Amino acid sequence: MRALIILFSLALSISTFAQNDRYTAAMEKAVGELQAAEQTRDFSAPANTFERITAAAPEGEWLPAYYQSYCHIMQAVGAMQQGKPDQITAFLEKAQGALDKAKEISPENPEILALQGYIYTGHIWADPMGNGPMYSPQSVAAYQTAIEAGPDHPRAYHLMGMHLFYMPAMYGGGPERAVSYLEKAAERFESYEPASPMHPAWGSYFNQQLLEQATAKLEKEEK
Amino acid sequence: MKPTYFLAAFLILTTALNGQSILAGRVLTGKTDPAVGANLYIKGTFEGTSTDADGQFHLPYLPGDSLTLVVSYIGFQQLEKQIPIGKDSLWLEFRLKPQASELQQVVISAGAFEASDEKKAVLLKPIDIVTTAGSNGNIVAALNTLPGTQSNAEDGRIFVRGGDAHETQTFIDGLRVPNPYTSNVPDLPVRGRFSPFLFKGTSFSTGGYSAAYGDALSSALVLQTKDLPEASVTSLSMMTIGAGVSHTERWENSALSAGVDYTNPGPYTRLVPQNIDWEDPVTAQGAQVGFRQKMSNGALLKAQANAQWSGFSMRHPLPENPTEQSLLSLQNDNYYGSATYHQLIDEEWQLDAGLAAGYDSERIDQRFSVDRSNAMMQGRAVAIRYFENDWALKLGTEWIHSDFEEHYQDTESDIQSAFQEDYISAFAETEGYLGEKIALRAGLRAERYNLLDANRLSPRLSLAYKAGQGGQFAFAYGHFYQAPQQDWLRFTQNLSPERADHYLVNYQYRKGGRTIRAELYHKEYQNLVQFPAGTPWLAENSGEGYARGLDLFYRDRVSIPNGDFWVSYSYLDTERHYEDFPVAATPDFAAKHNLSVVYKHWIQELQTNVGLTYTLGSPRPYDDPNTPRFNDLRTPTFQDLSLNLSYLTELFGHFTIVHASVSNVLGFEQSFGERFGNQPDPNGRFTSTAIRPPAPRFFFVGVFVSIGEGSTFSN
Repeated sequence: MRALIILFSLALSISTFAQNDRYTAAMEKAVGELQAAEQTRDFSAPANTFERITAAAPEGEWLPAYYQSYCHIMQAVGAMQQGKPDQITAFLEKAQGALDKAKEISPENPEILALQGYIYTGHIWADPMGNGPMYSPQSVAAYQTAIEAGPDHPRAYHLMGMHLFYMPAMYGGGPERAVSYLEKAAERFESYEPASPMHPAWGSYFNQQLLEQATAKLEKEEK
Repeated sequence: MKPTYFLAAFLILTTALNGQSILAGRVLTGKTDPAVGANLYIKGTFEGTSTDADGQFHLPYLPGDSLTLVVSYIGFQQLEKQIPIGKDSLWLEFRLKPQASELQQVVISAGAFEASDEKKAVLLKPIDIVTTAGSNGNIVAALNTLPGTQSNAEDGRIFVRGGDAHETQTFIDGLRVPNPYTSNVPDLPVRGRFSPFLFKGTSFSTGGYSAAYGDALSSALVLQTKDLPEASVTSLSMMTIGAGVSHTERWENSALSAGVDYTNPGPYTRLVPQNIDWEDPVTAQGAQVGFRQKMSNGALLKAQANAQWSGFSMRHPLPENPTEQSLLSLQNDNYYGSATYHQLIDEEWQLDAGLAAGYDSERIDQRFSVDRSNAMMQGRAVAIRYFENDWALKLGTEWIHSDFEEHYQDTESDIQSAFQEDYISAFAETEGYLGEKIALRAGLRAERYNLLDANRLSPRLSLAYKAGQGGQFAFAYGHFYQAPQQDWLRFTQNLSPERADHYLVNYQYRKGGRTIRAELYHKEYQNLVQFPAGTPWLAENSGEGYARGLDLFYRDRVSIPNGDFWVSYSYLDTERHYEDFPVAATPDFAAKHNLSVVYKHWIQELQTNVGLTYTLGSPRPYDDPNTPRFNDLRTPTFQDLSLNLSYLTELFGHFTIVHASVSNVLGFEQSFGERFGNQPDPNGRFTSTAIRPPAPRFFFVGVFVSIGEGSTFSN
């Protein structure tokens, strides 16, 4: 009997261990896929992988839903570059669904709040004149909330800078306003340490690019 | 512990690992299209795969217990399938159904044109109304570019499908607005009183509308004011014809706004040639206050009040005496205030309630004087019950009290008239889906016209049927009643409500930024006010008529890069035998053909939006009392091309729009027939004056500055 109990508890701990282990392994593989996708710009594979992990993730893990949402936003970026406004909306709706799950698990998380702003910004790409009036103030507000929730996280600054960079000056955007956020983002990309290798670490390369473009534009304007 | 246990466990484990089977198959959207990159996974595990370019997949699995396979693909409904135990390998084929997203969902569409930021399946956005060339911030002018409307540029109001202007009622947040237009004398066009920037949603129904609205024979224009503004902002406007300033202060859960404006086109009319000999062109002062409060229970309270004082005087001949100019003046005071309360009580119940009051007084002098006043009070409450299966039941009631007084004086007569009207109504309406393809809205409205001592019951029905991807058929039917116009009620109240029955069939197809829409309608009028010429006090409800036609609409946001256009065409066949018509005839406000082309182009390099609106109205009939036949003359064809430019820029670091517009760019000869006097001259002939627009062309330049962080697009 004693042996049975030991065996049972052993099996149980093995299975919990195995589940966590499997989760970690799946996440590591998925983050690898995501890193590859950052090069190929085809995010469909990591989007699917993270969706699977989200569906079966251990309780309290917000990262799979967060990354799933991020992948769908990247797919929306792809749709924008191909000039397919209907697809932008479809991807963003799916991104929103995943982000809502992440929010439920971790409500005041600055990384998740920043991604919320990114989704709002994305809706503007689908129809700038039609969606701009409603979504632009919402995305700016979301980035501000994210910055308040985590002032040392770089991505909310980065996304706010990106949003302002592409927003015409008369709506309150333009390179000058963008630069101040992109610079703050650059400082934080230097200093910020992700909690684990699996935690969000994207954005620094694009931030650098945007910063260079914005500075170049400013210099051109001064001349 | 015996080692055999471990051995057994190990054996089971390894057997399972080696005994992998393969699930394979294909995922399709529709009949043959492969779903590329669809996600397949085993529920509760991290195991899964994606489909390849042919929609095919291979997924190794452990044939232990039964398992559930999940298929997920963007834009399509998620699918789950139980895979039975004991099979080694399986070939599976999945056909995915499109997701019932808002855009693809079947919607009640017959008769309605909606503009909204919140809903997706709408044809217009609020910004589309604001940027329509020729509208100059006038909602009504923008709506007149939609099918089903008849351009009556000398009048300015909305005429829908052979209906007179008063057959369209305007509702703001559910409450009826008694005087939605600015006050004017005949043949001088009016404008909508309310700025389009106040509204987040517009629903313009050209027929078959919901039981929630009544006392309108032809059309309901339903406007929804904005909720809490995003941020504090100060707006300044400087225009060729006036100036304005407003400020909105936003707090955590509330906002207060106040503004004043002043219009005086005096200097402008001296610079630009006018058809009218102004003594004092239309000057107006306006003041607005608005308040929004979000309550702790999530409810939203909105209150607003507007006051407008306007007047003008001009030298204008009476039709009886076309050679002599006499001074005509008008003075109008208008006040309107409303408060509404909106609360989602729980997941099942929603409550909307509102109160409004208004007062309008008008004085016209020209060798006679008319003093007219209208006071109005109303209350409205609507409860909505939402059911789990996507059905909703709306129950509502409203009461509108109005008080009319008029005093007419000339050298020979002195007539006073006054009456009070109480209109009480209750309605019930249910809306929902019968399966995936059919949407249904059915309602019943009971109305009490106290002054006329009449009770009426009107059924309303609307159906939509989804036909393929992006396409849908819709049908609407309803009875609509309306009290006779005050013009007749002041002579006799021994009348009944007028009635119109609507029948509409509609087809709509939308795909990727293009929408095409066609609607056939038939409208049957009965119980219209009728009287022998010159004796309105003998009026009875013996008049009748019909209107039928075809409305076409095409909108395209994608074919021209940075360009957006819509084309509206309306064909109308209508006759009435009503008022003082001696025979059944087409009324003078109804044109057989109406065409509008609205084009907007965004020029990125110049940060400028260019808009062009072309309008065409075929000749309309009017009557020459000197000829024996009724309504036998025709106005010339009406054409207009309006152009506007909006340049977006910064002024001292504040968001600024410089807006310029000009009407009748091509200089079309615009005239609207003649107006004849009521009395023949000594020779027994009726003389007339020509009806022309106030000016051959209208130029407008304005600068609009928004100061504050929430400056984006607010005005």
